[in-house]
Amino acid sequence: MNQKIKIMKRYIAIILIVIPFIFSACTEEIHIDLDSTYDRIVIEGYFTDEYKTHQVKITKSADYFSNTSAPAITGATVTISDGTNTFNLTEIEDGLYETDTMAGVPGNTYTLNASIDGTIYTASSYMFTCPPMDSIGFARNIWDDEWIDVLIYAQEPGDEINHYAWRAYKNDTLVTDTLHEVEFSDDVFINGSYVNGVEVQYVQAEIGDTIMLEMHSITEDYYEYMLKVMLETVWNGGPFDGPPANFYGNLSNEALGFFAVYSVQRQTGIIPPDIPDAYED
Amino acid sequence: MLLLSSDEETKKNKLYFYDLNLKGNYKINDKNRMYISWYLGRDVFEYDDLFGFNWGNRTFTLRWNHLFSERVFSNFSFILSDYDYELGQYSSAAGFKWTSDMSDIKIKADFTYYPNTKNMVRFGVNGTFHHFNPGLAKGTGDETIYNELKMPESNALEWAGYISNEWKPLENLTINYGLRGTIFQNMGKSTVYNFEENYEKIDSTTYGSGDIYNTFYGLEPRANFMYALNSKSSIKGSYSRTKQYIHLASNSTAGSPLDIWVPASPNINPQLADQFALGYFRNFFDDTYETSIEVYYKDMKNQIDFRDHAELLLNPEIEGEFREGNASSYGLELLVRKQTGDFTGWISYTLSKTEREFPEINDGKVYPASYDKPHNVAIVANYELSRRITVAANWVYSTGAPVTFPIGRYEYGNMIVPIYSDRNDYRMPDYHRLDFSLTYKFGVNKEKRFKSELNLSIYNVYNRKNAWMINFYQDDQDPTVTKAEKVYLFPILPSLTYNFYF
Repeated sequence: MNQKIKIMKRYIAIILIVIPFIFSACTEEIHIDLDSTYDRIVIEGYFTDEYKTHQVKITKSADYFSNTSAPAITGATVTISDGTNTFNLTEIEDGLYETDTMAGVPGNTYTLNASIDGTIYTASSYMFTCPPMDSIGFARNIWDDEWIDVLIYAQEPGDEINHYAWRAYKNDTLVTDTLHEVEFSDDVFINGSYVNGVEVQYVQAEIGDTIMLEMHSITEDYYEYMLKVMLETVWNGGPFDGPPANFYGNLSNEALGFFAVYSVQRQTGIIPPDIPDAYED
Repeated sequence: MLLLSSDEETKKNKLYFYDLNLKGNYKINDKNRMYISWYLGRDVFEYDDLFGFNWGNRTFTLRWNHLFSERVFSNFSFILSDYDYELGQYSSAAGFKWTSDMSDIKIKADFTYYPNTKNMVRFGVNGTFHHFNPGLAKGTGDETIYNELKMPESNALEWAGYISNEWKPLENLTINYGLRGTIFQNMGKSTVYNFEENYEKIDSTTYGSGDIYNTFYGLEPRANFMYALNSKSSIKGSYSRTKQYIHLASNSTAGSPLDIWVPASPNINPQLADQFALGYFRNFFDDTYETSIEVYYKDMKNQIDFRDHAELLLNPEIEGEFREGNASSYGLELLVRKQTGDFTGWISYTLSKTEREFPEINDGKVYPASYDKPHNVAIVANYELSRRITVAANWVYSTGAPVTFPIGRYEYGNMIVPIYSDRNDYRMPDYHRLDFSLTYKFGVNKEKRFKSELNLSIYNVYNRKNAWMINFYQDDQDPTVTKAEKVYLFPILPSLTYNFYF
């Protein structure tokens, strides 16, 4: 039910944006003079319970119309600690720092430390356990025939408020590599229930494609952070948006970005020839 | 009715509006008269039966004018009014309709009493029942996939009593002073959300139909004077305090307008304003030209504005999205008007500033109100070529409204995220527009019962693309490129209107 409301709310907003466009195609690119602002440090870090190298990207902000990739911050000293052990990260390319191959353990709190020109930026985050999925299923998207909804079947633990994010892989390739393609939700409407085929990802795929769904148990802070990124980017523009504003993640010293820590569960399925339409019994 | 149909594609777009106005009065006898009026107006926009929106308002007034004596006049009125809008997408199972409306029922009694030649006393009482329905969304069609989504409706009673006296102590001095008392009561049936200090919702309380669950009181003194210096010039001054129980909250995103009417409630205080004004008025050339210069200052308390990232769309807990603060406004108004002769019109210029200060918005720093437009010019000219033909033109100009723009950007999750300026630190492009009209009157020479006129008008003569909103976006082809685009609504728009009077 929650998902239906979300779709509907968004759709109303889209209409409001579209109306002036179709009215008589009244849009025009314009030149606006914008001031510059001081550079902010931006840290995008991920640490999970997968056995792999974990990466932290450090860049800085730029003028709004700078139109080049974000400038990298090189030569930083970056570590991740679980309270007992400290792991050093190596700069593998400009601004990209990597751990050795290792896995985080759910239940631990991980702290990122980045020392940049004498200033130390830190962030801590707890790693929640991700409940397993029983299986995944597929349904044809009601808005667009070429898209397939990925459905999950899983028992949601009822002990506390959890937050989740979902990514999808098609034939071993991550197809949701941009934040606005990542789906995320809290469990307010389903807390403790058996989730019986709720759509949590959307892929442009055909019969026979192998789809792997990845579920992350994210923190509430990270959920809120992704929501704000969405509000200021792809969801931005309608009259129902509140006033735009700046926001911070979990990093100290007013660094932008987020150090996200989560554990991961996966399920794989092959799209069958007889996919039902969404919302059909 | 106006149809925009420049090509096949836009033929699907439909835009029309209508206004209906009926008025009547009946003289019962020398002491009693009845007046009745009814108004209906609606603007409709539709796109190819797929979706559309429309809004309109209706007013009905019944007034009884009664003379108690040579010295006491009275009016008793009954007024119904309502405003609504609907927006919807009407296709198949995914169709839905969203409606919102606000209606008032008002009764009032107004008296004018002339105790002697130097005083005129006005007094009266009135009561209004307000009904607010901020938003209801539901699916259309038999097999709808949507649940009904509703923001809580609410009701309020507003009572007012007033008395004022217009006193003429001298031939050239008029002093008017008065007091107004008001009561505002929130009334069920309604659901009120309760919030913590940090605006997190705790729980909600539901009140039954007719339950009064919150009451505000107000006392509003006011006074003004007019002093005639000579037959050509005068000075006017005024002070007034007003308490307003209904807020109009304007969203201040990059120029896309949305106004929400918000009644005072247990969560939202009524607004309070003190206004001072002083003006000098002078006529020239045997009163052919009137000129004036006025200054004003307005101090406003308990204003509301949206918090950062407020969620406005069908949010039942919208009261938690508002923050309270203060505002002040001051300005200078200049006017030159010609009222007589074949050529009439006026030129006005206003210089003003409105600022807001909210502890929880913009880090507590002062910012311009979203309606702050420092320079405002209007030029209106009418020329009567003959008894049948009148031409008119008007030009308006105003500084662009304040908006919040991105001043920097950064990358996160393969996306470009904007870094914003302080609240309302930038301005939309200036707004200006010229309109022209030509009116031809039929039946001017005959004592006809029916009169009519044909009006040709051109809106936005020089096709100024006034920005309605400005969007910033990431380019599809090259994701490192960010761009700005403006959306503008009405290009040059000729229309033909036929008016009929009877």
